[in-house]
Amino acid sequence: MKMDKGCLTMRKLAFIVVCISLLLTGCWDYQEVDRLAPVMAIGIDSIPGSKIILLTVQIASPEGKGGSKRTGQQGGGGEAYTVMNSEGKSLSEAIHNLSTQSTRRISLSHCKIIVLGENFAEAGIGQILDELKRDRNFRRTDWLLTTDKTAKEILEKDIELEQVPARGLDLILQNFTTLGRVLPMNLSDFSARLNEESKVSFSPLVQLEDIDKQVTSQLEKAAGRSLESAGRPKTLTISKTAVYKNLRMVGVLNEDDTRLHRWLIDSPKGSSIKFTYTPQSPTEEVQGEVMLNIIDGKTSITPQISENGITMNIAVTVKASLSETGVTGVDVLDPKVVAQLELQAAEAVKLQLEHTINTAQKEIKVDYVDFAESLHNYYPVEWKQIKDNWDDTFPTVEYRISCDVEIRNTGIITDSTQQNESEE
Amino acid sequence: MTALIMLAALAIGLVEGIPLGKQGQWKELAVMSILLGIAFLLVMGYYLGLPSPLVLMERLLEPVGKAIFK
Amino acid sequence: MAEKGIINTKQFVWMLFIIITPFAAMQIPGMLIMQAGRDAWLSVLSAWFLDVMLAIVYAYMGLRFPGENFVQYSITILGKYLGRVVGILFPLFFLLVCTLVLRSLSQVVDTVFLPLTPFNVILVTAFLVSALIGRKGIEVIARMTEILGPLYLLSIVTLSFLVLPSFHIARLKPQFDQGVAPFLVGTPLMLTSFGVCIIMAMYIPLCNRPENGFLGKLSAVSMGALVVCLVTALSVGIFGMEDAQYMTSPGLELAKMINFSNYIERVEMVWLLILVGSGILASSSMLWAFGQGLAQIVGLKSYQSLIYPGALISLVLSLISFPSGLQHTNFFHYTFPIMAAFVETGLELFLLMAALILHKRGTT
Repeated sequence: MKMDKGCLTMRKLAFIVVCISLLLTGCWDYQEVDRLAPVMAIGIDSIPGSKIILLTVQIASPEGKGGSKRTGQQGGGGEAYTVMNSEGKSLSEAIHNLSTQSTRRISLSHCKIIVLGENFAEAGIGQILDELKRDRNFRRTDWLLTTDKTAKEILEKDIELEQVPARGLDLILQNFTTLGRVLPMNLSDFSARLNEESKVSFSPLVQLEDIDKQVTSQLEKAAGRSLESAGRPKTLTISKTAVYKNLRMVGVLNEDDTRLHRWLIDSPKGSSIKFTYTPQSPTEEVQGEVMLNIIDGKTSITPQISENGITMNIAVTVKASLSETGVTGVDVLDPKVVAQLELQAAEAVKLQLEHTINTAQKEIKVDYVDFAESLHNYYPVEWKQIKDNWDDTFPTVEYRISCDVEIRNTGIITDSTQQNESEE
Repeated sequence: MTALIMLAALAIGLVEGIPLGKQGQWKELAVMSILLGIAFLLVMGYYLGLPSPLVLMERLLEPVGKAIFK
Repeated sequence: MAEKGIINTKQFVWMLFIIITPFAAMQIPGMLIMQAGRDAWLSVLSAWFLDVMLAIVYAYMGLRFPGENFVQYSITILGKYLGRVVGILFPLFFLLVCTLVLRSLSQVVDTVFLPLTPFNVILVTAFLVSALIGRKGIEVIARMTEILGPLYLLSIVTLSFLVLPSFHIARLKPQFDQGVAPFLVGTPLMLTSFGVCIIMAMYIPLCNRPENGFLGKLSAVSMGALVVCLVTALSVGIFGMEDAQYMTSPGLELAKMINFSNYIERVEMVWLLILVGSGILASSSMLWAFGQGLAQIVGLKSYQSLIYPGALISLVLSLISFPSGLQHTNFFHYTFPIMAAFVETGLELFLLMAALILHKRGTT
């Protein structure tokens, strides 16, 4: 009997083992790493013709030991990345078309950067958003960038210190999340913002700048003679913001507006305040640039609907540390002076914020400052009436800014000793 | 697919049925056979183009659900 | 030999919890957001409250008929024939739930993790494992859930904390934007998913302390509600309600969103583990309950031999009923809640009324 039972268990076990070895092979989805082409960044441009999408992909090549070019040692295994192009009627078609030229399977799951070319962004990005959200390989944490050039130009550029440019862009944007002037935008937030009441979203604008040339020409002016230049290549910079409305790019914020825009909709943290200090008492003739680094801060937008219309109350509180007093000879040991500094900083912030909101209301005429969303949150019932002609209402919305700056510390010294000779 | 299901039914019948038969649990064997038969009938029905019971249920209840839910 | 296993209260709690988990991990939060919008998390809370109310009925019936599950007491209450007709609905319902859970589980695995693997292979494998566990009996399931349940709860809560940096509370506002109607519609949808916990009526007779049935259910469903609530609130707060409602698995998208200080990222495999583990354990409980219930209706001595055939029927049903994932989601969305509401609340309340009117009670 016992023998029988053991036999039975063995037979069952054999049955299970056979089943498992047939079913759990796991061979369908295997991918060899050396047969993959990991795409690090994709860029999308629009081109004339029937195939309107031009896809540029930046593929990291693991064999290529990048950086060799920069260190001057040729033949270190080539570039760390390659760029490929393909065309298609839609994004997924373009991705499929890549396989006609790639020896390896295109793997999109490592893609972290999506660059939209200017033409494409202005024509409307609706058709790719669906694919980006539907495809399992794209992540909603992917960074979205817009450029005022074509995406192809951006993705073909090296970034100093990084072997794969996409990685470099990723690092820049990662740094921006904690401190920086531009608000980085991932796919999830971008799409969520487009769904919100105002249908407005934005993304950082990546540009190609010939910093070397600019700097050299400035220096030449200063020196009054022509200078030698190593002729460094153009550099990728991210300092502006592209604004989208209804899936179309409608405008670009300049650097100052970009910074203040981030203050408004996110937080002032990590930014700085720069203003010209003018002392209260006319006897001291000190005047100069003061810079505050913002340690912590908070912005809140509270709408208020009354008979007179809609008023947005914008309250900014900032905790800052003194970063630079320049040549002013500001006596930060004097509490009165510090209070004065705080007041003037607040005033400067207020002016800048007003400028940013004015740009939104008068120039671009698009509500990228989240007024619609806060109205919807605070006055859901009233919003239903305002909603329909919000685009006309928005430029006329009143706003009130109150700003409170608090200087927490003065760096590692208090007063500075060296001052301009005119101070004597 | 149909063939595989039938094979599976046969295999289950053998693996489970033989010990039951040896122990004389005829009632259990009968119920088990009926269940396997139902599985078999379902597959055959599908093969012949008959709707599955869940589809029938869906036809009956989906209008109610659509009336309640968006 | 009928089920001789005995479970303690702790195991009882985790078994119920693990039955709710796959619902939280799969389509339900998305559907809920589609119905209730930003108020989805409130719907979860109200469904939790209603389900606790329902649990009182089940716990009371479990005590009124000691040592009997609802299949048995429906025979006690309604007599030999009508009782059997009513009683068989419960095992069939469990079989249906098993079909749906394993089908959605395989669908998520197939579309997100193993796109090249044939769908049927994933499905058959899932059924094989569930049937294997189910056949081993309640104690095996109980001990597995006792280990995995806390692990899953901990990982879901941890994942929720990790995804918090991308959470925007403004996207959850304003509440009750479209009035209370969406919230009220969302509640029954969620309630029917929590309601699968009526399987507690199968467990209570096997508990070493049946009087703890209500408390056990309360803590299990509270944990389950916490999990579903976290998933719905976070996915609305992160993706916005417009995007979240069309996701096939918002929880999975949440796990994909995790990028904690550029250090912890790509952790969706943890979610996969939760999904697959809890889904398979839940379905094995369902298969066990089907076998046990059916055996008691027919009056068999053992239920083990019914598990594999039951799993086969379930497999066939999930293969032939839904040509695509879309139909399955639709079934889950529109048909299942109606059916579940009927079985979970209608049938049990009917039994309660019948027992009270006919003055039936169990023998101690």
